[in-house]
Amino acid sequence: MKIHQVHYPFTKFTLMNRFIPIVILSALLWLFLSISDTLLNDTEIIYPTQVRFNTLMSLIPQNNLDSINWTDHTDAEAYQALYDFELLSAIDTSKAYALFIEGAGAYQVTWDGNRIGKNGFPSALAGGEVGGVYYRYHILYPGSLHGRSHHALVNYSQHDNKLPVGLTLKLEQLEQWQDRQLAIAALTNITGGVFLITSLYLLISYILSFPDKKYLHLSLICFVLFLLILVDHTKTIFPWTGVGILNIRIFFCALISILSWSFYHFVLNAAKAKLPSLMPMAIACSFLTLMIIFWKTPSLPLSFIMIIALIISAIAYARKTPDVDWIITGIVIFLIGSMYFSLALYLSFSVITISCLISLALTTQRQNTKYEQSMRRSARLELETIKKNIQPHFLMNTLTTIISLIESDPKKGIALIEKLGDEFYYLFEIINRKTIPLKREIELCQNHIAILNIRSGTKCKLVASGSQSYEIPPGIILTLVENSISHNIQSDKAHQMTISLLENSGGLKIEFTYIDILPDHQFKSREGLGNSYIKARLEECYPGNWNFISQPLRGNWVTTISIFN
Amino acid sequence: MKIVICEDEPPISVLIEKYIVELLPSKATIFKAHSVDAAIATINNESVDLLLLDLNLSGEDGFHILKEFLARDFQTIVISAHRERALEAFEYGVFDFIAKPFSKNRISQAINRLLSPKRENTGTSSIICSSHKELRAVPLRDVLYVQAIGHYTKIFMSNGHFEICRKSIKTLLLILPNDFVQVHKSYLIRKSAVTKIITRSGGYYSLIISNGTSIPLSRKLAGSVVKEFKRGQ
Repeated sequence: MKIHQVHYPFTKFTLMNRFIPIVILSALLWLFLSISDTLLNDTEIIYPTQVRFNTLMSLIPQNNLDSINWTDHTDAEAYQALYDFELLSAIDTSKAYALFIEGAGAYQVTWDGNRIGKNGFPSALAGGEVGGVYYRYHILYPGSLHGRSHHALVNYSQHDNKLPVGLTLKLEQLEQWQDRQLAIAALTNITGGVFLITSLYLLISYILSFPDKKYLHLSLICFVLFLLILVDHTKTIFPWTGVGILNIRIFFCALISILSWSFYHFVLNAAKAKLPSLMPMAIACSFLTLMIIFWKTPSLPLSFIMIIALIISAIAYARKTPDVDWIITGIVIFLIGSMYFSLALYLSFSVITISCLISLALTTQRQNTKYEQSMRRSARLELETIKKNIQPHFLMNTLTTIISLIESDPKKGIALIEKLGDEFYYLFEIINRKTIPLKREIELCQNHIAILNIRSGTKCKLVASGSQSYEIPPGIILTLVENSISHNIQSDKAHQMTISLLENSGGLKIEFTYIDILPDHQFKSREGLGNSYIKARLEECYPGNWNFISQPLRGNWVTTISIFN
Repeated sequence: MKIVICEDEPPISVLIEKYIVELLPSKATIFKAHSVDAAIATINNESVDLLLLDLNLSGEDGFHILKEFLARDFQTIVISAHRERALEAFEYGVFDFIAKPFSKNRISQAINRLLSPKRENTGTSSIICSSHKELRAVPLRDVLYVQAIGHYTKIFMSNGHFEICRKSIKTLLLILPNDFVQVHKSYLIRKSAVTKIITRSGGYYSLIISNGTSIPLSRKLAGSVVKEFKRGQ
């Protein structure tokens, strides 16, 4: 069996091995973040300032703005009001502009006295309002812009929303605005798409190749991130109304809680450690509370999430969970980056997700290495056992005995040759098959014992009882037989060995007894080649689902092998 | 000739005995031991000439037991399945190594070599000496000469120290390479260590070896020894 030695890079924790990937990762991330940051915060955007408002709803006056009882309040929020935004900076009147209004509710907007657009139907009465879309842009044509000072009047109502959400106005040259929107859309599509595909790939991997829950968790993390990106940007596509905004927020928080739960289980492997699943729910609830309290400055809730992620990872690291250091590295890179960039949630979690992917890849690599090692070890032990039986002592002695029997007892000699032939065939089977039926193994143990009996003049016997239909790795029972006989060879004693096989729904139990060991005999269970072979074979065939105990019991030596389903 | 056969598997033990009896009719007294302990008991009770030892030489235990036997004053022939360890066994001073399975011919070869010793270059590279229950392998390249003292021999080395060996000059001769010759009833020297031959009065010779020691050369052996030296030159 050829096993190729695969050399995995970055397995050893040398500074070089860590340094290079961290540098590349950081460079890529900063590139990505700076692009998105530039897109989101363009200096070309002009923000008209809210100068005054009046809560009395009335029709937009074409003239007589002075008759209105204005209140000076730069940061007012109301369920209904007439807002006056002033723009003092010069704008290029030859170009078209996009006036971007963000607000839950309905409004009508005029620019310098000209009605330029509306969103839903504002009304003083709750029943009369027709909700509008959360984001809306209105075009200011070159002809409508003149002069140095501009006023945008917004007649606004939002009865559906339990929390008053203020208005934000942004002004930008139309061409640039369009280009930027396309760029943001492209970026969103790319990141969303990446997470969707990664999520699908991880899910398929979990089902088909790696039934490790970590893949499922990471798939869920990626999928939730995809949904978060979608939610963050469908605000522009779908007509979310005022009520819808609140629903989005709740939906958002639900996603965060799923995200936290997945992250929590991924990092801490909580299911195995039987840690409480309520923890991430607690995180999500706190996040929701913070979002409600600090909804205008979402950076605090976001930082909160990041800190929780860091604490979870730190706990995992302290518990010596492998490969967590990459996740911590990812979070640290993000935290350093967040001091320079203003980021949306999905961007921050994408950093974490990438580091989770690295961590998962390392885990898989480690498992592969372990498996390969165990295969190699198994192959080697297999060969050693074959060598043990083919080479020197056993084979040569048997042949010498045959020479002796040729003249003294030819019939016995022929019988011995036959049995030796069977033994060779058995060894051939070891090489080729992963498991053989118990019946066959016991047959050949009997053959082996018969050969030893002819050679040594002993009367060893193996009595088997129980169901022999189960399939087990070859060579195990033979090793037990050999261990017993070689430890206690005495030609005047009839060694009795029994093997009982118990098969039930839980699995298989093999009880091998060497009867009546001498009290003064040092029947120590040597962890020699024999027992290592048995354990390696069991681990290869039933990883983690077996048990091996060998101990004296009531004057006998009992070895119990249990295989669980 | 007293021969001990140490072999735990009866058919093989019987086979070896059969061959020996056929090869040395009425010349040999054979003791069969079925375990190492039984063999040691026999050796302690009889003055054995030859031991035929079946040993599992796969581990280190086998070699330890072998060395115990090699420290004694008889020839040891190893009969083993582990051919690959033959060279190592020769280095410690076994007389012969017979691989299993063997034919009568092979046994005959070994016995003939034992009975009509023609000095050949053996593969011995160390002599097993036992002192204070401790076994030590004295490297042959350090050995200058061997002196017989009663039932024992003293093996003198180039650094001036000596080791006690239980093998007699006669037994040692059979396993030492050609470079070693017997020059006296009680002396065995390394030819290449001799620097001078001094003639004394009365027709006595002395051999001076590299560390300055003077070894007597017996008159009986003088002729053949000098011839050996001349041949060597």
